Amino acid sequence: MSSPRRLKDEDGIGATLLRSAADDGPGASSRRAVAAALGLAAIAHGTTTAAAAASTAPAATAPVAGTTATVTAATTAPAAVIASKAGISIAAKLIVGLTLATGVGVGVAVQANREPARSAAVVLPAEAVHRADTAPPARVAVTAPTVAADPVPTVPVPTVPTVPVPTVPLPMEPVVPAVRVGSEPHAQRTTAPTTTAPTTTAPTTTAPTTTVEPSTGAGARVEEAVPTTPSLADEVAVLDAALVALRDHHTASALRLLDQYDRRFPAGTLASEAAVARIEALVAAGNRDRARALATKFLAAHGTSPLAQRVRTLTEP
Amino acid sequence: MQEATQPQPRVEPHEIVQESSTPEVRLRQLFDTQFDFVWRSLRRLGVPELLADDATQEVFLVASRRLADIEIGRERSFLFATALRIASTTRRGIARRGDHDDQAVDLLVDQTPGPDELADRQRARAVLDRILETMDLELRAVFVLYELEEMTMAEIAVTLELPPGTVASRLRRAREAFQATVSRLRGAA
Repeated sequence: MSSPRRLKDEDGIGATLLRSAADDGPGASSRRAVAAALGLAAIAHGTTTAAAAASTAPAATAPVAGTTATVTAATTAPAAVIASKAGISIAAKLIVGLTLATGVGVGVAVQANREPARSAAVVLPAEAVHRADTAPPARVAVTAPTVAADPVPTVPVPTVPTVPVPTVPLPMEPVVPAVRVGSEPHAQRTTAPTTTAPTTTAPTTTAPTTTVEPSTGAGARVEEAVPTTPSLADEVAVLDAALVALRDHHTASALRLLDQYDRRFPAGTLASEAAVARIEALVAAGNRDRARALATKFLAAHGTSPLAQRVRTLTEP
Repeated sequence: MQEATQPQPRVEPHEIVQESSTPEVRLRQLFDTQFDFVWRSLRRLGVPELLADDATQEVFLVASRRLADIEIGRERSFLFATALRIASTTRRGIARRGDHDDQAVDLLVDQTPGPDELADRQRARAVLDRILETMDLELRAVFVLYELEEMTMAEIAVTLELPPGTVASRLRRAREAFQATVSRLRGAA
């Protein structure tokens, strides 16, 4: 096979254009941010991975008043793993997580009822593919629709070590219909890498220390770069990232992501859930006054919501 | 982003990570030696700069989970294949396939600065990206690895797990497509 001379070594506009690519590389800050997000900073400084792992583990010493928040932390992670194992969309995972968080099964029913006429069949093509690609157990039941151009590495599929199964019944079946996908034919799916990433990093995966800390401002940047019709999947992606941040005690990140949620989806389907997450984040941040103010507002508007009891618990003196 | 005028050093294939005792160390080595490669690849595969860090993180996240399955010496192949998929996913959310037609090129011609202005390398790079955007991803991958990463065709064949003949034909088609677009730019300039 004869190798042609590289175009950038020739003359002309084409070469100029190609040579311009040489300037484009990641800055040191990019490297640092990604390393930190991957939990590699700890290794770099000689810290053992146990330390990094500890930050991802749902610690019982959550700096959150009350016990419910700890329950959330402890239960959502395995739920996410299970959901991702089952190839269920991130929406399902979120709602599973939310359901566990609220401790009320009706959360799902509420979601399902809110969008009764929506198509249930579409399962977020982009994300489904994504998940099939990235989830450790690649034998998920998701059929990757059309990714002809993507070469799938012939690496054998790893077997996943035992994942602790939560004893909470997972209402997966009724969850999927809540996904509103078919409603907007033009809706572009914006699978922001970071916003989906955190959910795949429950502490039980095989990864050594994959702490994904969605505080890299990624969410905000996604928002600016991809102006598309917001869909429920987008809502879920942002809120899910916020919940993961909250779970991992990255309170500031969680609040940022919730700000982002409010900006992007002022009349969002999951606005109530976002409001509760914000209250929880504020409590975690020690801002109890603000949390209580929001709680009062929430309870005035949604006093009978299944989430109301959770709000009351969160803001109890 | 760095605004250096000198081309940045490339990581050569022989610098690939060596076998290490622990997954953590191996991941770290992989990260240290391949971060730039992955980031650049994602950019030239169409991931906007604003999303490049996140996409890079995603690639290494996948790598960290699949570490045990990545053969020694095949790290770049794995990372690039993963980058290709993630770039594809990211792009799918941003642009529709329908933009890859002549209309897009016409638009490009209209907005392309003249040769003088191309001295501004940042703008040149924007134009480059938009030309690449008109290529199919499979052609684009070969083109990027050959023309920008300066891999040999044999290395590309290994990296993309393609027969050498396929690499050669894709490269030829990609170069023709690139040259054709550049000719149109020149005609318009």
